[in-house]
Amino acid sequence: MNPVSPRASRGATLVELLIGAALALLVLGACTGALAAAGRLLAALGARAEVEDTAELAMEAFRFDVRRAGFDPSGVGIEALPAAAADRVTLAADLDGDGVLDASSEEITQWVCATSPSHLSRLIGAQSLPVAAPVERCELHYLDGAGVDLPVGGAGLSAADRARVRRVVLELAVEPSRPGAPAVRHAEVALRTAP
Amino acid sequence: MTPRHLDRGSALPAALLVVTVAAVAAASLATLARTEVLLSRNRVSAVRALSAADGCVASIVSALPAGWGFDALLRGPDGAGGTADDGATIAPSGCAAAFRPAPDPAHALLNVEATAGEGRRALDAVVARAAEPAIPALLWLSEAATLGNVAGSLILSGADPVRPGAPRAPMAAPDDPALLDAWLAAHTGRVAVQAPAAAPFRAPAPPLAELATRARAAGALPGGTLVPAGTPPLALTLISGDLAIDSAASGRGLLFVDGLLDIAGTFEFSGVVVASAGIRVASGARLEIAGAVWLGNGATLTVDGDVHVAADGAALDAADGLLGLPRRAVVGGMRDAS
Repeated sequence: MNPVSPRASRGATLVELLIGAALALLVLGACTGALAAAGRLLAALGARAEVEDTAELAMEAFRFDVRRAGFDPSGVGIEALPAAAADRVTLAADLDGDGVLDASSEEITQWVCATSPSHLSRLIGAQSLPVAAPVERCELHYLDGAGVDLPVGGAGLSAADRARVRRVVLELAVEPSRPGAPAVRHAEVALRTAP
Repeated sequence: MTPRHLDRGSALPAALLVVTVAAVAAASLATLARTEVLLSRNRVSAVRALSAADGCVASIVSALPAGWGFDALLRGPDGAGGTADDGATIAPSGCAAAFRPAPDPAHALLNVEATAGEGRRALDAVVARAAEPAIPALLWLSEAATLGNVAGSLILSGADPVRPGAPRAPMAAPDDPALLDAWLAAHTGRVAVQAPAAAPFRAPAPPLAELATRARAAGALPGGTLVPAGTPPLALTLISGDLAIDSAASGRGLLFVDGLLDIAGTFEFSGVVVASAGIRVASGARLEIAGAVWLGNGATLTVDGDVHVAADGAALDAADGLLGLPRRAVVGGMRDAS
């Protein structure tokens, strides 16, 4: 066995320990700060991604419903837009081609911009599916063949005006769960039914 | 004194543990990111495929000839029902399509399946006939080569008093609309397109053979419906062979000349004038049409005099009342079939 000299087994002095501890604290502090910043960034990005995803999914679902509105293989005269107001629109499609609209199925969907609390919902029969909430802006517009925005009164568009609608517009701004800019979307969807 | 092996500490296991935990965390993050990327890619593929399917439907429907129903289409290329090619149709690359009967016999169902990248979408479209008769063009040609030289003057007025928001195009043909544009540009000064007017567009040839058959079946008169002066009767007229007009004449309704319409005098007509072999307007002669002119395959349009064709939806509607005019195929609704 090698003899250990007293000098080698002396250990660290108090100054060395303090310096070591200070350096360790410094490194740990820097790491913690970096981790915290990364965590905050991750959370912010997650919230941003979530709100953008919510807005995009809402738009996709809206486009999906408007695209198929008026599907009428039986030729019974299904009206694509049975109702159209500034805050809600009803879309109808005879999806099974039996010539009858089943109000409890997806053959009739309603999109509603609600105010208290502010949200965008998709209604099917008695089911209400909140698509986006909270929303800073949620508006529906109806354009005719020339792109003119048809004025919507309190009772919504008349039957004659609904027959003129060629495109349905949804303006949506979804607020994120953390402070930040809303996710803004504009969908202008042409009805797939010839005038 | 402490034995040396007890002095070793736990730095290595601790470091290994930290590295393992970090590696697992990094792998989890990478997997999450990869999943998000794949989801986004799938979504992009799906949207691209949907756009491709949409485009496919639009392309197929716009290429369908104007007509009255979809029976011929549903019978397929062999023209016989109940065979394997029923409903078969030519589709643009990247998509497959087939027609099938709809519950309403006035409609047809078009099923389209399109692929774009790794995405695939299928759509069912209801195909109907347009509510508006014929096509929105003043001259409906079976081929752009029909247009000959214009030594006189040809005025095409697209403004339709009945449909003020939808001016007519000066002409339509199955060929590339650029040919029609080029012809108009080459005849600037002798051919005038009065605004408002839509741009020339591509349209399959008018179905003149079936129109003649329908006119005969509807009891079209063989002549005598044109008058030299006064208000002419609204009539469905089918002339077998050429029709020469040497003095003043006018008419209303639908005039089908199964030959050459040769005008050496003054001829005014309100409605649709069909000339299977073409129209010749001699120098000093005048032709005024409120409605539309349809020319057959190989027909020629020779204008040495003055010709004015003006849009008139009411005149077309009146002709349509005499004999249902062919109508364009249009999409009457769509649903996702994926």
